[in-house]
Amino acid sequence: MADQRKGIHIEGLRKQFGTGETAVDALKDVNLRVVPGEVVGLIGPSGSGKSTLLKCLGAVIEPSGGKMTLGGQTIFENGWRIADLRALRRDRIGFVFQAPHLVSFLDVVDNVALLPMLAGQSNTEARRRALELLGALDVAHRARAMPSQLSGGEQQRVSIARALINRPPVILADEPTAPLDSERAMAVMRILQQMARQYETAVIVVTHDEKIVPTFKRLYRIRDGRTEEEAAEGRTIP
Amino acid sequence: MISLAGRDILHAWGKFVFTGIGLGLLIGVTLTMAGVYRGMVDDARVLLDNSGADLWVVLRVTQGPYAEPSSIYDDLYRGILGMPGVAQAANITYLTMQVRHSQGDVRAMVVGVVPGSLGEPGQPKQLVAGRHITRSHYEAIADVASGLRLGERVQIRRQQYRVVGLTRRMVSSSGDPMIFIPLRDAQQAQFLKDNDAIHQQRRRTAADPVLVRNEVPGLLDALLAAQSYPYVNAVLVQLRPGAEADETAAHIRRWNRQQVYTREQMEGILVGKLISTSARQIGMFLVILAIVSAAIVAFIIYTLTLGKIREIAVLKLIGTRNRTIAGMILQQALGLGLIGFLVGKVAATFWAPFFPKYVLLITSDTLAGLAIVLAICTLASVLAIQAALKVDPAEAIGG
Amino acid sequence: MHRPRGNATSLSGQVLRIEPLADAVTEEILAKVIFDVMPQPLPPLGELGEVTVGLPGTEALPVIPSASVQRREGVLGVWLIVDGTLRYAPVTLGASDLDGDVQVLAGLRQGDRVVRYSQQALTPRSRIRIVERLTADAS
Repeated sequence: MADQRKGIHIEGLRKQFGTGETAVDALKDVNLRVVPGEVVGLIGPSGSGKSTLLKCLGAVIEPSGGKMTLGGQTIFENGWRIADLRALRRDRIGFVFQAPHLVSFLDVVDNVALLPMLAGQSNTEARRRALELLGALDVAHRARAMPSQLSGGEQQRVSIARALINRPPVILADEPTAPLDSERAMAVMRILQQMARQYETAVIVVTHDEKIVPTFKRLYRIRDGRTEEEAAEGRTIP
Repeated sequence: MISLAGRDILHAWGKFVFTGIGLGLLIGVTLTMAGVYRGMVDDARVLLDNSGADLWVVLRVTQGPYAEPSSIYDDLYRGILGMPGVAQAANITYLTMQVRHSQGDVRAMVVGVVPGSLGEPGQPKQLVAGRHITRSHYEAIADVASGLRLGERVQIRRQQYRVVGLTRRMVSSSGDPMIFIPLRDAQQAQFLKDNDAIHQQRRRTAADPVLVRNEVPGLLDALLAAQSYPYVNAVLVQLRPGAEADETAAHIRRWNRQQVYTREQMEGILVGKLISTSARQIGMFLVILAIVSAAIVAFIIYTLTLGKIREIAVLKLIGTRNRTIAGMILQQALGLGLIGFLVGKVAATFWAPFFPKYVLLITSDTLAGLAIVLAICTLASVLAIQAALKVDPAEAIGG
Repeated sequence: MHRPRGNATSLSGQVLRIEPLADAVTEEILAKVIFDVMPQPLPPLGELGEVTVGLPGTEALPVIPSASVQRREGVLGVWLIVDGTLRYAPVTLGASDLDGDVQVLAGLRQGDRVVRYSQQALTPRSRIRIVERLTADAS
């Protein structure tokens, strides 16, 4: 049984932009938890605050109040509790974007191995781990290709491998299936579920793609800066 | 560790090389301009070295014989020979003029030297072909830069001269090749006009009733004979070993009552006055070229960075240090500068010999140029680095 | 002597008389020269001619081309190549002829290798490369 204290824990998160008359409350009261190995959905229309929530979770903007715990570590409690947010993002959070956003001048394996190599780890070791991940994602045969030579689906899988390279306890996925058709979208969701189980990662997927909603066992609906938990079908994809 | 700059350059190597070549040509022009200046200074130095003189005796109020015309009597050298400290003193004339040969005109400095005296100041010291002048008239030694060959005939004023010897790098301070001819012939060339003018002058003298008197036979002939040309432009002096230049010069100034310049003073005149305007012109040009190069590098690196702004936002989001990103941009700018410098140095070395005047590319200029290029590239990258650092990683998360 | 203006005729003659009067300014002595055989037709009065006077022969002495002669620190000499390096050898010179050779009275031995032409001024420390000829014209 995965340790419930790890994963994602958000209590009473608030975010206000601007001050005084023009102040906007993007997040009013967000409560959220994701267990390691789980893939949880966060669904809401535009303007509901889901991007803001993701940015708070990704430690790129500072919330106005509340508490955030990632991987068992309290990173925010009415103020940042971590000094080096950049290192936090590098080591503890994996990002999967709507578009793969791979570095165009590095080949596939170096794209995945980039962060450990920049951190000073041995190039051979980093590339070995990268190849392992690429293998698990069934895209190792494209290791030496440049991103521009890959199909959309292959690029997305590479970006997932990149997100996993440092074995982060948390993965934030921002509309990962938006540009894909249903078959590919399901493939991505299957991979995410598989990786989450295999590496005991807590995955939160922000989306408004109704196609993949049935894949979540649990999901949160966000509206006007507030979240509501929902139990869902939780269909496992074959 | 991985070099992001290196990988980006490898990936877009065509763009970099193309830009580097363009920048390189600009740098090549800059290096060449510096070489033109050095060449001018070297021309002046070579002129003074080749004369073999320690002192130059010229007309009192002038700064000749190179910067200004100077005429002194051609028997003054005897008095100078007698001064303490003087080992050799020789007459010399200089005249820059067009000379004609089989392939056309060439601009040359015609130097009149006393033939047959070996090792005297003013004589060409080392030859690359042929022999020294032995006859008293109508033989010449030419510099290879004039295009003349051994045995060719060259026309100087009223006479034809046969080239009996060749020299190399014997040039005037403006880079014109030297042609050495016997002193008497050179005096004629400088001070005696052409046949028509001589004829006219004689006619006018003969037509003057005051000068043509029957009571004094032979007066007209004597007068016509007196219309001669006993002038030279300078006397070149070599000092005895151990003699002091300034002391000897002071003696000659006082007792022979002419102006005397030491080697140092001549250099000051040539470099300080003759070429100083050109030098300032070149200096201004170099500054402008440097600014233009900086602007080009800044523009290119900035554009390259802006083209990667999305990737930079993503890199920052997933945890890349600002330092690493700034380092990548700086390395690219330096890489561009290095490629440009290499291209420029090769280009300058290649096309320098084709310039009409001497272009001297010296190592210290090259090293200074490299340092300046790298400094300019560092500065130029600042704009791009600022743009990259300002990028908000949150922008990578859309919507 | 021969006539100028491209005419390659050489005529022989003798020195008839050397004038007893010297010119203080030009340091010259006038001499009168006559043709061995009067040329037909006679050259015009006042025409310029170039006269070369043959002197009595001297004993055989080594000669060097005058192009080799340099003056260094006030001393006339030549550059010798000794074991691949340069050495300056002072010389005492004798008569020279119209072809550019000059007699060496002292300072050199038979077999010494003398530098005839060089591209730049030489010093004892100059690096040298010996070639057959420096320009296409060199003899």
